[in-house]
Amino acid sequence: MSGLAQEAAQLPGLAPGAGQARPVPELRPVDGPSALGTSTRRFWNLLWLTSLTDFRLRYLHTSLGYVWTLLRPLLFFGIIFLFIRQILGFGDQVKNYAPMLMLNIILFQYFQETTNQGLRCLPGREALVRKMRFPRLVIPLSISLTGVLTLTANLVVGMVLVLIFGVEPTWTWVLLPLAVAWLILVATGVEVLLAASFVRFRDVAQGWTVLARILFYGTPILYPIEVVDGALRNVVLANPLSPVFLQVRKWITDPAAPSFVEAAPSALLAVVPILLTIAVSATGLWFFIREAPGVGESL
Amino acid sequence: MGVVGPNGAGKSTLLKLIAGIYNFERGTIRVAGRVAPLIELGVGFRPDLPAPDNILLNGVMMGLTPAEARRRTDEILDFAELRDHVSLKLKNYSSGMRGRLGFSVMIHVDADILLIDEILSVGDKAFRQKCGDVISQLRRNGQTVVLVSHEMGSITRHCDRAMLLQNHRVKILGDAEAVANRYHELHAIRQIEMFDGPLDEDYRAPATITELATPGADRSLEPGEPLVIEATVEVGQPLTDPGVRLIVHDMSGRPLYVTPFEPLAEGWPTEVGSTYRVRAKIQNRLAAGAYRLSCRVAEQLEEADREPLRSPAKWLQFAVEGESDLISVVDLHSEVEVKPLEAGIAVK
Repeated sequence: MSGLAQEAAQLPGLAPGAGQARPVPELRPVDGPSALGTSTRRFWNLLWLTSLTDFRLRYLHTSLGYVWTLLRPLLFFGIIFLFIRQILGFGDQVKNYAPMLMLNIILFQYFQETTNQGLRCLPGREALVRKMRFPRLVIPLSISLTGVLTLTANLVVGMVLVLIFGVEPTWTWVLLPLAVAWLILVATGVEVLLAASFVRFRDVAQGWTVLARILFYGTPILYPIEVVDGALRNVVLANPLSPVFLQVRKWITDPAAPSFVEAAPSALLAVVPILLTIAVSATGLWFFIREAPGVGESL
Repeated sequence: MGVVGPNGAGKSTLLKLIAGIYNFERGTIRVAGRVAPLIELGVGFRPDLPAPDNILLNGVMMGLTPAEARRRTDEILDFAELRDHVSLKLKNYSSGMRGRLGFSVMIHVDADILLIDEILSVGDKAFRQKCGDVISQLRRNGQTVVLVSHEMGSITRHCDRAMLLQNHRVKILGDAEAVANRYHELHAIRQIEMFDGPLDEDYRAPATITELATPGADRSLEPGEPLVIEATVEVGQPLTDPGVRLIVHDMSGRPLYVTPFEPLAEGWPTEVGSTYRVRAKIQNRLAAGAYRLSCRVAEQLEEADREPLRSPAKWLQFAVEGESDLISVVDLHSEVEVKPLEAGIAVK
């Protein structure tokens, strides 16, 4: 026996004689690849591990590390703030406009990054999809979860800045996670739908660039809802992202601002973004589960 | 279990189907126990992270819990001989180091069935040797290894059974050596096709070695015991000046000794259908170990106005077993004489 073979024999799993103790497992049919896999535990283990690794990788290898992830929305905020205040002028009439705008930009950045990265996530991990067996939904979900980790860190700093801006804390601050949870639901639903669609129709990428821009301006991020009138206001209010930003403004920076229910001209219109959110997320999940088994071959 | 076949036959696809990586529309696949696929070394590795993080990630992908993967990190590193490079990022590893790490993770995940695609042909010699030793150990432990390879040496050495895939179908399934032989035959036919264009369904080889055996069917020799071979040759096409040739190879297929061509005809008929009996005795100057012998018929054309016809080779495996003083693979029978000389040493 060679030295290497002796070494092999020293491994617990490989020791000679381990064979006798090895029970013969039952013959079971092979389940093909799927979105969710067969073990919930393994799904979460993989999801958490991948997300944490990606999070660390993204901020480990730049000299400023995590500072960048915070600096980007803050710089963006600074520029927009200066322009909007100077040119559009409505900054002055909105209570705590600056902190509102800052939080909004932090929140939207999560949505934007998650959906953009999610779009190409399956071709981006092609080697993994074609050569490893694991629940395929982990890929888009880990992108969203990595984004959530960044978002959480950004929001902690963001809330400190909100205090520095001089906003009076209220008990409604504790409701912030509710709005964030809604945002995560919409972002992840859209992302999963995009990820599965992109494999089948590459045109989705072009379409999404346009749609994402429309969503940015069609959501009360830069402006308060009060400045929008008529039919356009109804369109903005039907947007599944709008309730997130309306509630964050009301709960954090301006308790007198309308909630998404109060802003809606009728109760019916207040239900529309909720229904749209559920519809998008459910469609995304359904479509991904349907497409997942064949994704390896179609890439 | 070996899986062999030409490129595009469906070998890797078969592994991916068993592993549950590809979807199938019809039929069922049943496996007993946990499967660990190693379709490509280092799939899923993150180049920007050092080995321990990659072991965790890869281990969990192969089915370990994070706690199990962490507990085994040291063992995996030791086996891969990478303990001294723990803090190095994987992008700074050589391909051999990455390969060792990937292989080490795979054999530490407690899989019942290991699916290995071509990896034994990568890495350095020591690593290939190590993979081979581990596979033998896994076999002894009752674990199943499904091995895809183009090296018939690996197949006959590691496999009890094998299948030959061609055009997505199982051509033959059975004894590893028989399968390896058939593969060599097909390979030879493909080489002929490369020169002469596609062959018909009713293609007949220029000649066929219908039988290749050692008398008494004992394939193991004492050191020094001559290798006696008997073969039957059937002529399949009109041949000009055909001859038979035997080659002794090492297990990786490299020729160690080639016999001179022995003419088949010399006055005898070489019409289609005529058969010949070949008997050969080859001096055994080989060290203990496993070897392969191939036999084929080919034309000896003086004027090369066309490619000489060659029959597919038939293969046979044999072993030299027992104590011998030989420290090299072959004994070339040298005579070295040393004599004192006034101003130096002469070697004759």
